[in-house]
Amino acid sequence: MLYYLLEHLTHMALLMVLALGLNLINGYTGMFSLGHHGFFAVGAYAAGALTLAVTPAAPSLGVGLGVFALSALGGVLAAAAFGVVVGVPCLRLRGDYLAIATLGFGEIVRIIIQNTEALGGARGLEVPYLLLTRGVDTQLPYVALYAALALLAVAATVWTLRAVLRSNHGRAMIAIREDEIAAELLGVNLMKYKLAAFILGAGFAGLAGALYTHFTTQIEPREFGLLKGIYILLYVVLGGMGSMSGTLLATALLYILDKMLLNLLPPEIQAWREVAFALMLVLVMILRPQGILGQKELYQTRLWRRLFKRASPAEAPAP
Amino acid sequence: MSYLLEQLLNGLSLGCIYAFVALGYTMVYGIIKLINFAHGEFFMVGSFTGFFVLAFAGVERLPLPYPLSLVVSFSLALLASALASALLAVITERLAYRPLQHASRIAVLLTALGVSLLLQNLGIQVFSAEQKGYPELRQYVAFEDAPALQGQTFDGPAYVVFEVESALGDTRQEQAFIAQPGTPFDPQALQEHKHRRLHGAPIDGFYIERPIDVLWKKLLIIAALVIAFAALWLLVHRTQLGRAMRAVSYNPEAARLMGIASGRVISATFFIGAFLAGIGGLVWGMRYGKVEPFMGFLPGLKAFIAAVLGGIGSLPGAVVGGLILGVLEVLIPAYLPSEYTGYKDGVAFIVLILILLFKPSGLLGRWEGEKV
Repeated sequence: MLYYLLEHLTHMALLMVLALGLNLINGYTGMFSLGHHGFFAVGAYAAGALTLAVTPAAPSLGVGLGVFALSALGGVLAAAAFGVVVGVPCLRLRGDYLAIATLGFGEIVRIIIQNTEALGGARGLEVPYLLLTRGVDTQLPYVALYAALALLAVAATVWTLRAVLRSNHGRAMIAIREDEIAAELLGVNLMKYKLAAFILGAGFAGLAGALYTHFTTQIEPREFGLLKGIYILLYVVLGGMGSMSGTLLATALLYILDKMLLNLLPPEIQAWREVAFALMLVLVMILRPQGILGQKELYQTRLWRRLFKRASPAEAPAP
Repeated sequence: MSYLLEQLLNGLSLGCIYAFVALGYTMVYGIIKLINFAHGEFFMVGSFTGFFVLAFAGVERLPLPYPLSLVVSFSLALLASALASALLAVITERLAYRPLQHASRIAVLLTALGVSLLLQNLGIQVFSAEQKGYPELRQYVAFEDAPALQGQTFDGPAYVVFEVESALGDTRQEQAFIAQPGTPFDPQALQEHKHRRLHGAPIDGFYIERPIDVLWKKLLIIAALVIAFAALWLLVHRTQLGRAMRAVSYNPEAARLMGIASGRVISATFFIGAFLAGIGGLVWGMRYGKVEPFMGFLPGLKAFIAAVLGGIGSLPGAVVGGLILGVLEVLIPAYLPSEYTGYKDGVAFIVLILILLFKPSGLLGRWEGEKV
C-alpha cells in the first residue's frame, strides 16, 4: 500500500514540476504554449540517450550516481536548448499563432523520435537502473528514493520560480502578461524576458523528463503526445494561471481523482473517464475561466486566512 | 500514367479534402477569431454518418434502376454526412462557444481543445475505438431480377446478407459471397441462400458492390471541391447572409450596431463550415477506406495549417493552402528514400512553422496586425 502510494506520489510530483514550468510560460508571462510535452520528451530522451552512451557494463554506486547527475543535467540543458530553438522563431508570434506553432514543434519532436532508430524508434528506449535496482525485495526503497527525488525537484522548482518572480525579472514577465505594449514602453526587453521564461519552463520540463526516464527506465514516444501536453495545460488552467499553489493543488486533485479514485470504480464507468475529463475542461472554462485560485496564492485566499491565521494586526479592530 | 502525374493527382485529391475542412476553419476564424479544434471532429462525425447510411440505412433498396440507385444512395449519404456534421457544429457553438463570447482568447481556445477531446472520446463510446472499413457503394438486386444478370462480371463481389443464430440463441449478421469480382455471375449460386432470413423475414435479394475506380474517385473529389467552392463563393459574395458574414468578420461591433443579428450569422458560419467538413469526411472515408474516432484530429490540424498557409480568413486561400499542403505531403515522401516515409506527418508542421516565420499573413491573406 505504501509502495503504491509512493509510486503515485512520484508521478504526481513530476507532473507538478511540468505544470509549474508551464505556468511560468502560460500563467506568468502570458504566452500560450501548447508544446510543453515536447520539452518533456526532449529531457527524457536526452537523459536516456546520455545514460546509454556513458554507462559502463556494471556501474558501481558511485559511477551510477555520477551518470545519474550527468544525465539529469543533460536532460535539463537539452530541453533548455530546445527551448531556445523553439523560442527564438516562435516568440515573435502571439496568442493563437504561438499556440499552434508550439503545438507543431511538440508534434515534430515526437515524429522525429519515432523515426530515429538510435532513440529506439516507436519501440522506445530502455535505460539501466543506476541508483538502485528495482527487484522484488527493493521495490519499496526504490520508489521511496524516487519519490524523495521528485519531491525535491518540486521544492527546487517552487523555490526557483518564487525567487525569479519576486525579482525584477519576474516583474518584467508579469508586466508582459498584463500588457505587452505598456511593458515595452516601460523598457522591458520583450524578447529577452519571453525567451528567459521559455527557457526556464523548458528546463524544468527537462528535469521532470530526466527523472521520469530514470524512474520508469522505459520510455516510449507515444507517452509524449499532445494529450500529455493538454493534461499539463489542464492542471495549470484549473489551478489558476499565475498561481503556483493553484497549480500544485490542481495537479494533486486531478491526479488523485484520475489515477487513484477512478480506479476503484467499475470498468464500465471508468470507460467514460476521458469523456468526463474533457467535459470538465469545457465546464471549467465556461463557469470559472480563471481556475480555482485565479492569480492568487493559496495563502492569499480568504478561506486560508480564516482557517489558519488569527486576525493580523492590520485587520484587527481598533481597541 | 507516369509516376509523377499519379502522385500529383493523389496529392491534389488529398489537398481537396484538406480544402473542404480548411474552408470551415478559415470561415470560423475569420468571423470569431477562434481556432476551432473541434472542426476535425465534425469531419469525423460526418464520415461516420456516411458510413452508417451506406452500410446500414438500406438506401440501396430504394426502387430505382441500377446506375441511378448508386447516385441516389451516394447523394443521400453525402447529405446526411454534411447535415449531421453541421448540426453538431451549431449545437457545439451554442453550448460551448457562445457562453464564452466575452471571455479571454485563451479560455476559448482551451474550450475548443476540450470540445475536440470530448467529441473524440464520445466517439469512442458511441462508435467504439476500433477502425472500421468504409463500405463501397452497392446495388441491390431482387432475386427475380437475378437471371437477367447471368454471365455478367462485376468489379466488386456479390453477396447475400442474412442472420445466423448462434448456439447461445443470439443472432448475428453474416455475408455469403455468390460471385467474386471478375468471375461471371451464375444465378444458380443463389439457390442455397434463398431460404435464409434477415430481421425475421426471408431475404428477397442480394447486393453487388460497385466500387468506383480509384482514378475516378480522385477526379470526382476534385470536381466536388470545385462545385462546393463555387457555391460557397456565390453564397458569401452574392447573398444577404454572405454580406452579413463579411460584415461581422470585418467588425463585429459595427455589424451589430447596423442591426445584423451576429449570433445568427455566427451559427450560420458554423453550419456552413461544418457542412463542408462533413462532405470532406464522407469523401475521406470513401477514398481511404476506413473510419475511426481519432481520424479527425490530424486531418483537422493539417487543414488548419492549410488555412494558415493560404491566409486565414481567406476562402481562396484555404483552397490554395489545402492543395499545396496535400501535394507537398504526397510528393515529398514519394521522392525521399523509403526510410523517411515516417516523417510524412511532419511535413505539414514544418510548413506551418516556415509560413508563420516568413509570411504569417499566409499566401493570400491580409495581415491586419494583432489588435490590442
